[in-house]
Amino acid sequence: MNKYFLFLAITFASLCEAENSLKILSYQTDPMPVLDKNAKFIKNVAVAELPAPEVAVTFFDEENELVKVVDKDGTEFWFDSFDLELNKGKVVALPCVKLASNAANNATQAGTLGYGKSCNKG
Amino acid sequence: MNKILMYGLVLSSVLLSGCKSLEGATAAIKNLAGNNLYEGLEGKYIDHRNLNEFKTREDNYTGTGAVLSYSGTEVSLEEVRKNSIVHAPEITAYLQRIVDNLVMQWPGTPVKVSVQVINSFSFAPSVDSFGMINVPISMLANVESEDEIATLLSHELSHLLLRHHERAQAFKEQKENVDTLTNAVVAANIAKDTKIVRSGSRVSLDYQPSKHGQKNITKAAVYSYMINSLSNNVWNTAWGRHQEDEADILGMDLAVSLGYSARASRDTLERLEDFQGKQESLLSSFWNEKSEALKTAWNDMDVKALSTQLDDTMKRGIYVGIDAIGEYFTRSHMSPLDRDKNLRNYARQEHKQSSKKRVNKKVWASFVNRPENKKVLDGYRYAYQVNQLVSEGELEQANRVAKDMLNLDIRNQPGIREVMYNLRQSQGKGSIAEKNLELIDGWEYASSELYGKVIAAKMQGEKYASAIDYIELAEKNLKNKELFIIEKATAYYQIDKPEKGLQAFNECLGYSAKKKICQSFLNKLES
Repeated sequence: MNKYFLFLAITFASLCEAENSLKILSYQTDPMPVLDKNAKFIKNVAVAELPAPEVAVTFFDEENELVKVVDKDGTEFWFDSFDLELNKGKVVALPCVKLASNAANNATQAGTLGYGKSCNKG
Repeated sequence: MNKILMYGLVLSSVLLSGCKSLEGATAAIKNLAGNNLYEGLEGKYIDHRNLNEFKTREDNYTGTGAVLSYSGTEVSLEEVRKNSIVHAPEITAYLQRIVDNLVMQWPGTPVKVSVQVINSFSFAPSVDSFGMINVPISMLANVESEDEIATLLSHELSHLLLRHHERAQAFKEQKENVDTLTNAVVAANIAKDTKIVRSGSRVSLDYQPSKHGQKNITKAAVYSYMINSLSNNVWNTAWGRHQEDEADILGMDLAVSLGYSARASRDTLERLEDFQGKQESLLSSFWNEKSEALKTAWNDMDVKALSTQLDDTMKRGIYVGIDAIGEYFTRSHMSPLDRDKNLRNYARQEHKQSSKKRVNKKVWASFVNRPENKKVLDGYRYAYQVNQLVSEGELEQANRVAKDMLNLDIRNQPGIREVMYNLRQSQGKGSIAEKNLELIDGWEYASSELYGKVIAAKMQGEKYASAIDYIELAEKNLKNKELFIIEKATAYYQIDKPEKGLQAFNECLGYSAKKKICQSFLNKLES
């Protein structure tokens, strides 16, 4: 019984995680420039031939601002995030004050009361 | 009867003009919508023939160097600064260098423009009609690159270059709605506590300060600090869609020509979208709290017993304020994400290379983490936290955070001491609260609201000569003589200088917001 509940908990947690993960909401140009993982241009591909949004991002290279997705055939695509509409973007941190009792005064805390989506830097 | 007349004049001059301004603002918004600038746009906007009329100019803005507002011109009541300036020479010089370089990219007559950092937790900067770009300290705590900073400053510079302020009068009038309520309560307080005294042929004013509504005025002041911390961008940058598009595109052209990445605009607009989502709910709740406090203060003055009509007018004024905030967020104000989408298309079209260039995060990170700069950001973050805790009644925790704040050597800046004043007042320690004001080093950086607090404290404490000193300091530093003119006139009578008091009342007749009440005083004094 314990293993069953553990399985359910993990599944539920995974579903929640997927719900909160990075996704492509739309492609901003047609055709889309497809790159390699080093941001080198490979070719242009018509949007109709790309995974249809919403598409889960399998890897986000934050430093180079590249995202990777995989279509149902297992083909990988790297895009410049500047050419995409994503479900998450940059945020603004406001100094949060309703902190946990053991948190430092200069901490910023995600999801703190009354500050909208998040208090944290994105 | 004298009191009712005074109250009526206070309200009619301060509140009712604000109601009419709100109607005008709505019509002006529609007029400023314009057509979609991006449709059919070919080539870079900076080269577009539509901009030729702005490239050659000869007016008060043209030239190089400091802005006009610090060269003798009086600043109007609606443009008087609501936020304290942050004294951070290194940061200010850094920002000024970026702006000066941006101005040099403009292929036309240069304009005078200055930058200052203000005590605000709004995200984006704003520019006033005198050419001063106000950069909220919170913006510096949230951006990740100099590219973002240049993009934001370039946008504001573009409003100046394209003379958008000349078309923005309606938005200044709307700002007055939010601010006039506190002024109404303060002015009514003075009127209530002042009597005409006759001794033979000599007529004078006798002011006996009471503490009516003081607790709630203090509470309202705490929420005012929060509102001013978050709303600078709302009220000074309520541009129409067409103007925002123009400033976006020209701003990008200027920044890219200096070598900054076109990608930075996406970062800043995403942050702006995120901030506005938080700002709306925070502002609404702070405004509700402030208006409740002011309503209670008003009730303490027992105006209703004198006149139901006056009481109804005050309540209507409060709801106008609340509606103004709601209206700002629901009217046709372009979504930052829509602006982002348009700008990215423009970047791909006209700034292809720049749109592939990543922003440089290292330079900014290195600069902002220097001890001299970090302490400024930390100090003002603490100040915001302290005030927030005070507003929630968490005075012990506020005290703990205040200790960290006071350990920094920026402790005597106006924005820091103002928060200590709010904290001590909320703790019922009025004399210690006032001592915090006396510790301020740099009154030239103080906000109008802070001046209001110190002047009210001096008037309440019957220290009229000192009140006059601070009023004259406010006139000099805020470049406005209207704000405290009633207090000035009243104070002069208390130190037995009736001729100066009379002079002040006569000067007051030149200011539309207060002339009716000043005329009433003059009529009584001369009858």
